[in-house]
Amino acid sequence: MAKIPVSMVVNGERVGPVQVDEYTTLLDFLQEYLNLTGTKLGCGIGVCRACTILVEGNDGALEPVRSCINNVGRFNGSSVTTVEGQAQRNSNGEVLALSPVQQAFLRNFSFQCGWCTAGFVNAATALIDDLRRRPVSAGKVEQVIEEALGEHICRCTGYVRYFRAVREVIESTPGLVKEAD
Amino acid sequence: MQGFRSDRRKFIKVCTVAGISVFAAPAFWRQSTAAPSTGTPVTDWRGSGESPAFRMDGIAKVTGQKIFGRDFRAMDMPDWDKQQHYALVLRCNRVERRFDGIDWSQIPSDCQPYQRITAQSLSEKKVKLPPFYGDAMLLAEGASPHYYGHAVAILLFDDFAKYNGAKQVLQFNRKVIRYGDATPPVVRDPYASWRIIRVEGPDGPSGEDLYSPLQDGLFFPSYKNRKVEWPTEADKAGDVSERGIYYAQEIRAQSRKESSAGNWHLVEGEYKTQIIDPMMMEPEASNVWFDRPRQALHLVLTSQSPQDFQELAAHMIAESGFADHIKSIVVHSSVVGGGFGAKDHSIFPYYGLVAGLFAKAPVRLANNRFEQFQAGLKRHPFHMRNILAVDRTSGKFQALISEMQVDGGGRQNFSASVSMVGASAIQSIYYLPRNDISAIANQSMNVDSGSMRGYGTLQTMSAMEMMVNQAAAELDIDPIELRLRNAFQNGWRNTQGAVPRVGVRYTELLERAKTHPMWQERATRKQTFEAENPGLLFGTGYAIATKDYGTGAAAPSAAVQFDKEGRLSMAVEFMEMGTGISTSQSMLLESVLGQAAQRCDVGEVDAWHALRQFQTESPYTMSQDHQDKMSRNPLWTPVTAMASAASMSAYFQSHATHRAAEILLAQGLLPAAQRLWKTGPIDPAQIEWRNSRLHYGQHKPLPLKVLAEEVHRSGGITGVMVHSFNRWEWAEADFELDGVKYTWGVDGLALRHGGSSDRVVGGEYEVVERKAVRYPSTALNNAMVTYYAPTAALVEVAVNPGSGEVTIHGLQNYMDCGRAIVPQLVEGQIEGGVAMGIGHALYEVLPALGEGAGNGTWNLNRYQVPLARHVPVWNQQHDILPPESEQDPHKGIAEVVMIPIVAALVEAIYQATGKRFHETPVSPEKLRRALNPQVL
Repeated sequence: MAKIPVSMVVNGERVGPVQVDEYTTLLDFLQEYLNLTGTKLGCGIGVCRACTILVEGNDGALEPVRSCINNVGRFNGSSVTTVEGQAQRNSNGEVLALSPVQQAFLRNFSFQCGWCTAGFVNAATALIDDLRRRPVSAGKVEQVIEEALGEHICRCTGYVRYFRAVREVIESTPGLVKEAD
Repeated sequence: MQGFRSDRRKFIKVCTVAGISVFAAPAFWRQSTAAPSTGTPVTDWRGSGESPAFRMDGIAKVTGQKIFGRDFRAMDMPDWDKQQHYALVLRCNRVERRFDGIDWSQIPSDCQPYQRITAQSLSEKKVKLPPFYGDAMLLAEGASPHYYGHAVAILLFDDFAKYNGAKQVLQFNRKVIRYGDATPPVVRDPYASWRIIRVEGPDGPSGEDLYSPLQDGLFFPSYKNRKVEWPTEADKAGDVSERGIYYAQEIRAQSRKESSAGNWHLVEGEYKTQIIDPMMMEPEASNVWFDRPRQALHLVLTSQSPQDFQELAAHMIAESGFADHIKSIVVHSSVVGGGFGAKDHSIFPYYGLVAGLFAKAPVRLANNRFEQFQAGLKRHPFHMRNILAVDRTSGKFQALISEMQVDGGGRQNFSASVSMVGASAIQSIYYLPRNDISAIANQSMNVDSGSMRGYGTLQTMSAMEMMVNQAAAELDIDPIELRLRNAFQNGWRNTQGAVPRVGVRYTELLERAKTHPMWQERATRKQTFEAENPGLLFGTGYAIATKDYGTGAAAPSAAVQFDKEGRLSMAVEFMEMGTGISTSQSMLLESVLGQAAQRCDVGEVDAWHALRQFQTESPYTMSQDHQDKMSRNPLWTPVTAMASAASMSAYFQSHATHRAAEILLAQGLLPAAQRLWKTGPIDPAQIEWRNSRLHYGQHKPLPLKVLAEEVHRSGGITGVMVHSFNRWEWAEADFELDGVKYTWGVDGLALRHGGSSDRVVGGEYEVVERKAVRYPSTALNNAMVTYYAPTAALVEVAVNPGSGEVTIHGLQNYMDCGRAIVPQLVEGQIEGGVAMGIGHALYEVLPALGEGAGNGTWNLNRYQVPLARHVPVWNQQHDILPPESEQDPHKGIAEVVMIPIVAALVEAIYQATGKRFHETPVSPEKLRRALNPQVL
């Protein structure tokens, strides 16, 4: 097994270099090497999106990425955000304030078992980030939610409350919805 | 790990089994409720509204805290060795040839396991599965695989990289397991057979029956060449089987005769359901550490039934060669990342246990999704031959004859009870004056099926609804009108001859749908839609279902307590399965004690030892004599603890929580209020809580805090722990406190004085032995089920005849859940149930045997679960009946919510296309082929 060195920023903290087997996925790296288990394995083949994390692009845009089908080497030098990095925390890692998406999911009782929640939090956060740069008209809000979250699998709540929560965030956040085209 | 104190006291001894002490560790998510040490926490889940602001476990879940069993690694566990080892199970993907050993050379040299556990290893150490799971935990070399996915070896690796490297090579590897000569299939007798025969007596639906299981008992077949042979001797005056066969023959003869005479219309057909994977999002996992120096085995599980695991695992070890090396077992239960029954009595934790026994360090066994499909419990496929006889004039159902064949797979698991429950549920919301229903749970070489959501009823009730919709069409009666004519009424007898204990409101549900525009205008809506959307076909379907809930031996425990500040905390035995039990049970206290619990420990397994109760025989098979004799011991109970199962918390756990709260109010708070108000005895019916203050007549309202202070100051009762038992009725017992006799719906009681509002600690409670107890008669074991909650679905679909794609345009759900505890949780349950029902109706299917999940190649790329686009995300409406009174029960609904949508969709497809299906799923491919027989 060939080893590769891995270094990146995860939730604002520098990690590495760590020597890992070259076929290690980002998900396994997060879980087995960093002990960050908030990112979940659902299918392991990139279908269910439970493992979605965020990668910051050069322009600062957040890209949702499936950590179970991407080798960790791809993220060398990247800045990665997992669900553990979404809320504001104190120096002990304890939660002080939730992100708007997290709050909306709580308020709407969007999840039950919670296994798919990390993926939804990250994908919805990326959508909000994208809408800040490229707002949509009110008539397209539901469509962009469907496009952003439509492949995520939830087995407990039937998607209704996740989608409603994200619509609430979009409609209540200034600058995400523009006048009709 | 945040908040997890390295504290020996966290392990509480539950019991001793076969000389091994069993300890339980607190469920992990409790740790995450600890307030931050700096800054302002975001923990006010209750909020100030009528409903809670969010789920009690919400913050932990939305921030990715370690709460699920799969999350925990050795380094997270206090006192564990920090090195983490990994385990991998090798499984057969074929059954028709002998297992001829393993080609170890397939494993790369730098990924070698340090231990290979095989059948021989187990044999040397005398390790055997608990009998519930059958034998051949690992298949021995030279034997025939019993079923697809039969495990042959467990490999142990001392680091992740080796494990991961080996797994990449071994998964899908067709050479690592060697197969030899062809062997005949492994067969055995059916797991179980049931027959439910009932004939109404001259006094009608509520009178005495001519014959029923409740009245006459059950009888069973013999097996010849693996086939069922029912008794053939028929005698009206004979024994239970002879009388049963007599009436069964009568039902069949009468149906033929009346049909020939043109009086009865028969809807006759074969109805089939598919193999379904529960596809809970968290695949099963375990982490097990055999602490050899301390002779302790520690386990972290993803189980829905940790209590049963504890006991069975202790027996398994006690009978093995490890018995002398293990003095204690510590089981850490945890939040379950979706279960749907797949983690209830799953065999998986036993493989984790065995890995732990042979490992040199904590060892993690974690299925990936391919492995979960290959080895995880499935939903039983049913094959039914049904006849529903309907009177042509009145539209009243006259008889139901159903023969069910149920495929249980390679291990028995719960196949016996699933087939029985499915058979007893087929009547759905209808009254049937005559029925002959048989169900055979068969062994097969499929992956074993278990207690998946619906527990047999989804399969049988969907068939019933399809028959009712067909009868309505063939008799030209409005489908809802036909249902109204046949709806079961309170006080009537079910197919087993029992009278349901909870009032049913089927007529009300049906009437609501009847007046809905989607129903009333369905013909014009179809016309309009098809005119506006040329090429698409539009249809409307309706179905209703009522789900029994309960096991016939429910035994919930609860403890409720307050500190001197008036802060309430509680513990329940039932575990959190994702549905919001902690939230809803906490909220239950508001009506009785003025506030929600600020802390609710779910899945509590250790505190109850304070009740000092014990059990003896199976509650299902014990004799009345045994029950009567044992009842004289004030500490005996039919069942000490129950497994968590779907639809069980709202009704059963709530009963225990309510009783504990009521006793705490009456015995703790009201005497204090009496002193503070300087008044005589307080009538509990006249008190009222408003804003956490107790109001009573003209007296100055008392905050809970003031009352609590007084109770603590005076040494009064500050905590109540109860255990209750339900066999379709609640047990009640007499207790004496300070010379006064009380009768409560509990059979075990312990009280606390003083104390905090932290975790419920059994040692702080003192048992109060009952003076007398009245348990429900053991004869009620024949009643099978008597609690029901109904749901209905009215759905509009558009079918694309070219692709077979079905799009749901509108969905109206109806539900009677009694008193909803937290409406948002109920609605979430409905929406989630609908999605899962849509999957069953239209998408999800696993082929049988060699092409099926047991071959190890299944995952979500092939197994289509519903996505958001398959579900009416934006246009789903719920009509939840308001409770009839404040005394309405909280009904269990977790399973019924997914049932009616299945037959409603099948009917809507028929209304759209003219094609009637008796088999699920009606997949796009199946529908496309049916509509385009000329196209390949």
